[in-house]
Amino acid sequence: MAAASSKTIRCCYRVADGLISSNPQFRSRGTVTLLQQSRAFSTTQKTSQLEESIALRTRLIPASASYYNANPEYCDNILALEELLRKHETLPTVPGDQAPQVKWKTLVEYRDMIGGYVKPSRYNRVSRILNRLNRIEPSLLPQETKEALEPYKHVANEHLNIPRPRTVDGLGRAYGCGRRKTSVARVYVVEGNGEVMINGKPIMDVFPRLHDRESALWPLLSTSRMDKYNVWAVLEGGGTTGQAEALTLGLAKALLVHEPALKPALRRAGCVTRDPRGVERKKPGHLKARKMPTWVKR
Amino acid sequence: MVLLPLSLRCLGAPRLPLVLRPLPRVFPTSGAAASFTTSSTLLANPPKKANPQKGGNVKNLKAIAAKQRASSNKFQHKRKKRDIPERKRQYLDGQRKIIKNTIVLSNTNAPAITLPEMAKELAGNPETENTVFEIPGSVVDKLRHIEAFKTGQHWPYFQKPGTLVRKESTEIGAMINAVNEARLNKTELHERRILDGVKGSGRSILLAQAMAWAFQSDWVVISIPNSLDLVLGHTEYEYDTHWNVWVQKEYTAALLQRIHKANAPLLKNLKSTTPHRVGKTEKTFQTLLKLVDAGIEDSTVSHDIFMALIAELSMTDRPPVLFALDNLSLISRLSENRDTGFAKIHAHDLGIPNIFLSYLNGTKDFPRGLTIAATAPSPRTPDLTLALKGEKPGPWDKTDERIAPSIKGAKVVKCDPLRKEEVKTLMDWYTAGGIYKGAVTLETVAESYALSNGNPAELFKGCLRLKY
Amino acid sequence: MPPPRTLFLRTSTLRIATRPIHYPALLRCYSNKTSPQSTPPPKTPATPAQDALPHVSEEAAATAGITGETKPELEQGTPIQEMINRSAEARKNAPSVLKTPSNKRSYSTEVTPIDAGAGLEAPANILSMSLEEPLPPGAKFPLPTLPIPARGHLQYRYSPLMVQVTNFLMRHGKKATAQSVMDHVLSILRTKPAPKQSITYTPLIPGTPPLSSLPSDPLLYLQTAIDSVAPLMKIISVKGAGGAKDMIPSPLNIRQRRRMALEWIVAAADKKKDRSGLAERFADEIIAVVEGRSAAWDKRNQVHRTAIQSRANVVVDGRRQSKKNTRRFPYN
Repeated sequence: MAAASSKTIRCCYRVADGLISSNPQFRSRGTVTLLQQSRAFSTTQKTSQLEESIALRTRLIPASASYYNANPEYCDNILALEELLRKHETLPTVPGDQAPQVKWKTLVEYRDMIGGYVKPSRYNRVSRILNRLNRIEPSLLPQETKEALEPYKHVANEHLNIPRPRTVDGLGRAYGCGRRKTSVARVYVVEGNGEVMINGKPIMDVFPRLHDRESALWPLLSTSRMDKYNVWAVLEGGGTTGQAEALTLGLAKALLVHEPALKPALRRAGCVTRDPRGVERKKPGHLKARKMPTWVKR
Repeated sequence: MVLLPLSLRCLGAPRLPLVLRPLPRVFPTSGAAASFTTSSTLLANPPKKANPQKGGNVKNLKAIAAKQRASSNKFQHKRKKRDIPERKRQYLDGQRKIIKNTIVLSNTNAPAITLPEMAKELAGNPETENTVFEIPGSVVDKLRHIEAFKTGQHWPYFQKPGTLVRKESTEIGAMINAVNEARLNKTELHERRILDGVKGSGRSILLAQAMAWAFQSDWVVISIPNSLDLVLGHTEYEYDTHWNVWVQKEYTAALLQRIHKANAPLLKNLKSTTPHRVGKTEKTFQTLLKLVDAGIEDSTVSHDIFMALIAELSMTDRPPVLFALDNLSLISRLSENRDTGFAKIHAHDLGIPNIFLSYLNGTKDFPRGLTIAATAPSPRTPDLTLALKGEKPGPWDKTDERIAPSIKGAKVVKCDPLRKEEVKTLMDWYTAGGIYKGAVTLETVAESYALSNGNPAELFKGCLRLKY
Repeated sequence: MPPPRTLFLRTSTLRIATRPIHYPALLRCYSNKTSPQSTPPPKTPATPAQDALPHVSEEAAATAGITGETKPELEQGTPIQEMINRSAEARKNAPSVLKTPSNKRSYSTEVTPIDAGAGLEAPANILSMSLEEPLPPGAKFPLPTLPIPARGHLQYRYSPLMVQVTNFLMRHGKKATAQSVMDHVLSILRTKPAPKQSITYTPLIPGTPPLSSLPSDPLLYLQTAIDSVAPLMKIISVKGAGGAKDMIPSPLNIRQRRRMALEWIVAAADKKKDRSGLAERFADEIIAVVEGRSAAWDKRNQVHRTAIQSRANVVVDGRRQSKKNTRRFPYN
């Protein structure tokens, strides 16, 4: 209330300063025209007297009905959209999956458009209306609606979204990063004769278990390329199984940089897919992820 | 005042003979003997069945009557018979150790392979590198007696024991040749070597190869197959004031037994004239075999006999000696044996390691011979590792200053990873022996090489692993 | 990756085949083999991308037919040699290659044959392969053939039986320990003397190779034992009429059968009095099964006997047709 009243007062001052015409948000009712007419023929003395008398009586009305709202831009926006929807509510619609695919502005982008803070729930309200409007049978969609929807569409720069092609660097190295559980493997592959170095050590020292060594080198083993490449890798985090299988993925990715044609074979060998499993979180009320405390009668 | 002499004695040096031996373990042989055990229910005799016809005691009769009453009661719940776990047969003393240490050298299921014999003429010949040889039958028994074969090696999978001759093998073979030449020329040559490498790199196999050639060249072979037995505190030990070391008489007697078995024909022909201190007396033995036998018969003098044997073999005009010890790392630190003050005894103060190391570092020399030791993968002995590299420890390192001098002057033979050609040779052998079932191609060789990193033990395991 | 092995020879597999027989139905879509029966080219265009109109010459011939002009030759073009022979002008302007009477050259642009005895270290097959069919784009070396061989997948690299037995022997999720136990079991089977033929009748699974050959293939040894002693049925007891228990035999799948067999084998092994390790006990029991000495046989016979006795209790749904089992031992 305080903010609104202070605004009003400021407006009044502005009117008194003769700034009415410069502020498009306001229009006066009746009195201003009177003022303009009087300006036309009266002397400056008379005019100033008249202006003063009028200014005291003028009540200015904001251009938007939602001016006294906390977020008038949003309010205008939603009112306009709701009006549009009301207007075209009777038009036939298509099911959601058949509607033209469109990505609306994200919440952040919408806030920028409005120029202020918008609650997520309010944004959802807008997006609901937009989706409903979008579902109107495309052939019957009025031009007016089409134009109205346009500013809400997400503008994507296709040129920025292209994945960077991985290439072999000037020294003949291909890089691949693999993850499994909490392990990360950074792998560099060069053409060579089958030497493997992990964390600066031979593979025997890193993986004493044969199974892990097999897992780690599976991309090369399954494609009969063990004697064609050299591997240099850095392993971090996790245990032996995680590290070995992180290396599998990293090695496969690096190998694909050298030979993209190997993808079908590596896919079938199970080397390309990231295993998304990790430790299940502990829940409140449980002792571990799933374990419950012992049942006590009372 | 009565306590005074006793307490003074505690302060003094240990007197002889102070025998520390593990307490004999008493196993209850029958239920009749009172047992001091927590598993009383298991050891208890089965309760005697009451026989009412014979007239059991009153208490039993009462119990039976109560039981009958109970059984006549219809509403009485029947009690389930509780299963008493059947007691399993105990192993006899030492039986498990025998099972654990049994060496199998032949697999009758495996196909027969014809391999060239590892003859002494081939020792040191670089052309024999990268070839698999069969250990000659005459030597196999001797190697078995001297415990050159270890469990966990590849022997049980093939019909006949065979080994690959590598670069390191020819290096040792060349040394044996050089000593043999010195024998012909009547010059002196005592070589000292330490085999070093990672786990499974073939050090013990190299020792066995050296012994095989030494036996064929009529050498006297003395081998300590596993120094773990010396330092674990499981063999009895006592302080000997004459030699100023802790001697392990039982172990030494067993060692003499092994020496006897492996070298009997040779020792029989070696005459002896010098008297030797045996216990408190001095004796002269006609031959070295009789000397060894004296130590086997009376274990109390076994250490004296062993020292006498070593001294005899160090005389000129004796055949060359191969003095070998496996797991050098284990005697390069404190042993688990305790002295009277309950402090750990340094392994160098134990009789046999002491004499071995004095030959290894050249304090003592055979006129002709080869003293050779192999390191062990564990435990970690930083002092030995540094000494093998020839480096000095840092100023703040906690060091054992006895280690570096103990191996001073001995040359290190590194057991490097196999080369790809050797991997291929081995894989061909495994294929012929029915171990490896795939094709041996450039690719599979590269795969095995990468997976094993050229480690012979891992290569064998990988080829043995079934890939279906 | 070794090629899949023939485990043993069956008489049915022995045949004298001079050339490979292809079964078009068996060829997968991603197989590199081509079907021998080539389908005739489609007469109508299959896709809009293909040209619907006839060839230019054909079209011209059709127009000429209507207008009565001379048709262009459709069957064959006029050979250049003929034209040269016909006109002196052409003979003069012809390129020198065509003027020379003989077309034979002293050299050939075709692939030079590699001398087999040149002592090349590189395997000849790879070299010839790369010459015959050039590498596809995005490959630096010959690509592996698809489908990938069995056990070529990272997660399925061991045989199903091996995985099942390993998991059965596993305790507290310690897979590496279980695998080393498994390795020990197989090495015991490999090194122990071959099993003897039992005096009593032991119904080993049909297709078992001679017992003397079993140690050379320890996994087949294990499989023979487990699949032989595995029951075909299990007995489910259901409350029948009048409070009586009805025993209903119910068929098991191969995994369930193997699990029952493993439970019996391990139970029999644990009952033995010697205190050896798990691997030794288990391996000894496997040998005992093949020799017909194991207590697991009694359990299996008991189950089968009960199943036969209570076969009347089986409710057969006539509408459901079971798929015919076409798998043959050894299942994998």
